[in-house]
Amino acid sequence: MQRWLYQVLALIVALSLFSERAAAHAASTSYLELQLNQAELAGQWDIALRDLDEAIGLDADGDGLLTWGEVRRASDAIEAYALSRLQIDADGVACPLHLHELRVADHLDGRYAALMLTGDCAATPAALQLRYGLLFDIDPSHRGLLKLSAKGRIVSDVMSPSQPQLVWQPGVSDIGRTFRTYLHEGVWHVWTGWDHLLFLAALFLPAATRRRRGGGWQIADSLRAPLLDAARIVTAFTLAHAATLSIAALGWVQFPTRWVESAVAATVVFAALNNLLPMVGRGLPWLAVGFGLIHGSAIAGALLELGLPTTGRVWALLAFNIGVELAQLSLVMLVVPAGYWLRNQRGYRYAVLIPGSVLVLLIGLLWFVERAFSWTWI
Amino acid sequence: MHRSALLALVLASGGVGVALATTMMSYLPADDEVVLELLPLSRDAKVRELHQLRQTLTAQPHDAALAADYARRAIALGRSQSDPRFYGYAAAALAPWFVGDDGASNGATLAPIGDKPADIVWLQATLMQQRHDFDGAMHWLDALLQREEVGPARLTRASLLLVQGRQREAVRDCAALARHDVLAATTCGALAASLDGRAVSALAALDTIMPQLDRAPVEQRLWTLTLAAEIASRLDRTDEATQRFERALAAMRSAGPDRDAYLLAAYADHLLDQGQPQAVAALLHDDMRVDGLLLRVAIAERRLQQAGVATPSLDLHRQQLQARFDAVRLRGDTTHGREEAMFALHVESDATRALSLALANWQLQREPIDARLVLEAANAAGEPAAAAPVRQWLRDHAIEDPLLQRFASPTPGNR
Repeated sequence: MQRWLYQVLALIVALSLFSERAAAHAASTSYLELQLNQAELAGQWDIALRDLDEAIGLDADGDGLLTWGEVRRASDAIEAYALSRLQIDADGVACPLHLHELRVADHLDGRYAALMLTGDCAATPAALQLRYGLLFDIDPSHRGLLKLSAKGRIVSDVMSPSQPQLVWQPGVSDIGRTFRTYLHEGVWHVWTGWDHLLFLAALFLPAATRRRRGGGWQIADSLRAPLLDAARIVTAFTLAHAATLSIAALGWVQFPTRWVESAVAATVVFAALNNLLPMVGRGLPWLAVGFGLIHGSAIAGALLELGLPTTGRVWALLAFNIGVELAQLSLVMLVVPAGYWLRNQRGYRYAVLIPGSVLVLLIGLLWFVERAFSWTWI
Repeated sequence: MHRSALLALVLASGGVGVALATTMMSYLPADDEVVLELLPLSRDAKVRELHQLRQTLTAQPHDAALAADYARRAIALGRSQSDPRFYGYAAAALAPWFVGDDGASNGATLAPIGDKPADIVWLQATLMQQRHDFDGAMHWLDALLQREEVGPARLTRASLLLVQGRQREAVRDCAALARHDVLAATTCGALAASLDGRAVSALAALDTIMPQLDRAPVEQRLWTLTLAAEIASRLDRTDEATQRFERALAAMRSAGPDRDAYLLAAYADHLLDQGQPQAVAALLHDDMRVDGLLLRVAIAERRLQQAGVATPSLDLHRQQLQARFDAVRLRGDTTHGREEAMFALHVESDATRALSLALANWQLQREPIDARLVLEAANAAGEPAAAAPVRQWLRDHAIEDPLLQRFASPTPGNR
């Protein structure tokens, strides 16, 4: 290119930055609205005629005027182009889409082709996955504004080259289902979370056979006392962790993950150590409050990962908390009576309580080192 | 007990669903001959050239010289037509050099410059600045200028600093530009100096290069003429400023059909300050496709309405602007902060909203117009203290603008 032309263009480009005062027409945007009804999809996708012309050339006679005849006759090409850039899967199986009518829509920055779409999924899906790739190759600043609705619930999102996908679970719509889903998640989170389980086990192993501070063993003479003790500890623990879990899950507070995870490991270590070298006895419910605060913020991480639904998050949070508590209670109901029946067996002390606590202590220490110092074991 | 506490917590969060969607409207045109769209292709030979160039580029997308040429032309068209789609086309041409980078700056995720071609990097920075990703743009410009001296990148860096209210730092880049382009360097330097206590000498410097402008490209001519008019306007030399704006306008008209949106907006603002809203409507009646210019028309109409003049189209323009701002926000763009704040303050007379928008915009853009927006909105909202950061900026930089200083000085009723 000639040098002067280069200079002129360079200048214009640089000057374009001084023109911020007048932002312009509009950047390329498409509008996609879809409704899911049982296994059927129906909706409308508005794509700017100008954008379609850029992508596949609609102006058949090349006069710069786009007539309805030219657009209508290009209907097959428009369908093929647009639908090759939008994929919808229901539970991992593609829902084929069809153009059943081509219409026109007026938007702020010009006329749009309005693609009236229908589609069939194999069955009523639990999860809908949408992949959007319209125009990104010729205009990365293009955005797809989409709105999906099913069962009276609506989700909106903006599709961009860095975020071209949406996964949606319209099934979690009615309160009952939301509740069941999150209850289930709460229960399973505890049952599959090793650190939480070990902490509780260490806390309740000595419920009926507690090592005295000066040495020797204090053995419960009825089930009532250890169960009451356990209930007190569990309640204190639950109250505390429900509080941190809720404020963190609602996004009011953010706890640093590494700090929280390390602290959880530290609580495991302490609980196990307390069985071997008793430090806290009567004050255990108070300690449980402190530990509950820590465990609550850790559990919140799982809930945040899962995400709270936009509708009914009240119920989701409540259900998750109840689930967590049910799972804890089930463990307590297992460990405490077992410890009570075995309270007079020397074997319980020397084959279960002490080695168990030592094992928990070691695992807790490993976790702590791993989490606090980002140390990975081979 | 703890259940009720939890419920209270949870109810306070108010987790309620979103309202139902409005279905989009569509229709079938009456017959095949109905013209639906006038394509930009038909209006401009430069758009046709761009199209032809794209076909060549599609065949060899990794040809850096070709891609840079295409992107430069596309950006130039984006400016001359005030049409952001062209910026998008430019971004597509640069994409092969920024794979996986997505053009967005998330702090550390920006790739190192490596041996990326200079023009490609500079153009990428330009596009990032255009969509107000100032950190990302600065990253690439600094990396590039550290590697080699690139004239246009100096000018871009200067403009980036100026828009962020860092005129003192911009001076150095303007000076470095002198080796490549004296006219651009002088104008750049005058702009920076005019915002740092040397407005009069900046204007004099611009006048010394005026004789050379006749042979310069029209863009340079318009830039220099507009800046001179703006400085005169800031200095409160009202009549001189009007003459200078008219001279720039004449230069624009004699150069062809292209409209210079920046010049038009600056002139409109000057006319509004001079209490001539009726002149604004006359100036801009052909430019309503551009958001920033439609905004000036609406402000002028609002002033006329407040003066008791009938303005039948104000409501329509107000709705159109609101719809355009909504569309921009839905996309997730943050490019209209300044315009939205002006709209809230001068059209909707919603000072509280204007103040929060103006303050948010101040975090990003810091030109005199942005400073003035914060001050005016804060005064109108009865919270002059909210404009403290702007007052500090004004103290740090001697901006010779009596109007701006008047807004900044505490008024008896407000304190």
